[in-house]
Amino acid sequence: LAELARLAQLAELAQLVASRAEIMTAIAAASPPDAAGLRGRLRLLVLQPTPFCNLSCDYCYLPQRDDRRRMSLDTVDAAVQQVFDGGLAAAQLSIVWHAGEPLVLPVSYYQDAFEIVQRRKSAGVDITHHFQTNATLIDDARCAMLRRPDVRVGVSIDGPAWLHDLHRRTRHGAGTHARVMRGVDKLRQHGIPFHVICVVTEASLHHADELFDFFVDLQPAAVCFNVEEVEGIHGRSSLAAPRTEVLFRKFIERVLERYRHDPPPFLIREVDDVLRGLRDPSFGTMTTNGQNEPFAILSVGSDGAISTFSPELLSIEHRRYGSLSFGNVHAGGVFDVLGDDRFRRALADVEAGTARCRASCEYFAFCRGGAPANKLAELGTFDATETMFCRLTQKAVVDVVLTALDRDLQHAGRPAWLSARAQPRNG
Amino acid sequence: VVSWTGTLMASRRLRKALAAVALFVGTGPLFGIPPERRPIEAVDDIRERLLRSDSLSTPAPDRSLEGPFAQRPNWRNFWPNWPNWRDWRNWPNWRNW
Repeated sequence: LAELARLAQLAELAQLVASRAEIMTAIAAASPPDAAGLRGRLRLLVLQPTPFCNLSCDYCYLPQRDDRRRMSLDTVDAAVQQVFDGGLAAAQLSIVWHAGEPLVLPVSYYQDAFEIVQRRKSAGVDITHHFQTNATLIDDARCAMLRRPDVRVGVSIDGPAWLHDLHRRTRHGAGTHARVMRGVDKLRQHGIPFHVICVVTEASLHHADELFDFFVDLQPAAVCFNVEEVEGIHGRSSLAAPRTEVLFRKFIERVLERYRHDPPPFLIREVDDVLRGLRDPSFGTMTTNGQNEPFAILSVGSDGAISTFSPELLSIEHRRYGSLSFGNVHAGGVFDVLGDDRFRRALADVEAGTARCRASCEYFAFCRGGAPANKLAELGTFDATETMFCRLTQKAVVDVVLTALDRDLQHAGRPAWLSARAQPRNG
Repeated sequence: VVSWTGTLMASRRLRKALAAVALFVGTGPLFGIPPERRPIEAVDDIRERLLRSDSLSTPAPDRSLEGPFAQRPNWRNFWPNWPNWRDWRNWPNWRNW
């Protein structure tokens, strides 16, 4: 037995050596962009004002939501300065205050932060601030801040109370729907438009009509159906069972049926994304999306840690890649990330995974390589292809929308649901 | 014997019926029944129809409002565009030019 144990150890060691060789080859093969190549690439800057959240939703992926630290204004300044002085920002830059509940911090904090951004921003860059909030802390003072023309608001709400309160609870296990609705009422009173992110769990799949009716009454500008993902510290999704894929298709079919027959005054992001993709003149030729292109998205943690690719990777420690914070704005800065071995290894795998998606998946024109965070959480590596996230949010949705288009475009006349509407892009 | 023949006949009819169904289904495309295709396989066709529908639904620009003299007859190309010059109602109304 001792001999066998030793053999097993040797085998493990051999495997490690092989994977080490693979890693070194991958690092050598990776072609990280140089600083000049990053000019104008950044479209989304995620700033984590605090990792803390006043709720404790059971599907949350954030590992440190009890941590009450806040991003110092020096860190905001350093991050923004490096972005603008380095010429990283695209002409349209979205700054998302998220990765914790942003409205935990007082209005004065954001007034100072907005001032810093305004002072540092380069000429010709159009900036929009986005808040994704659970809405429980919205009051008149916060509404005054959210009314600014350069601010967009997203509210996380999972439908009527009996669905919402299944998962979105306080630390003591109490439901939060009533408090969210009070926040939404405040937004309405102040005339602030908002979009909604609704997390779809297994329990929601049987209630497409109730959800649709709820959002018709709520009157958001857009509804975004996020699936309950396997991500971060949330290792198991209620949608992971094979039968739920069929149920999810039926759910989307029903939502789209309602949307087609009586178009409501809001967009459904999933439908809009497919239509937008089809209408894009470069459809079928693009090879990356924001998440698998380095520095198209930059995430800065409350302590100044820097990450790129999917925002959910910030503050993740992974057994294969180590820490996915590739640098710090206070130590070396954004451009030092380019020389970081962990970044180069991650980049090599993200690029390899995207290339394999491109070679093997007929839906590539729509998703352009998927989300690295989901590949990592579900399959343990960036060098991977199909995930549950892909099957639900891309394949199922694209199939359902294409089927509806195929049917509706056979008749003369233009279906009302295809008409262009205002298109918020912050879901 | 009667029972056995009956069963056999019934069985033959059944077989014939089954053969007819198989023939119909197998040659379905000839009768105008297309085989079911996955929507993603038709993406190029659907996209083309969507773009065509988009372009048809875009209203043509109203050129009557372009330029200060748009509402008036243009004397430089007046005659070729004025086929029925004998009808006085087609003459420009000089009182409200």
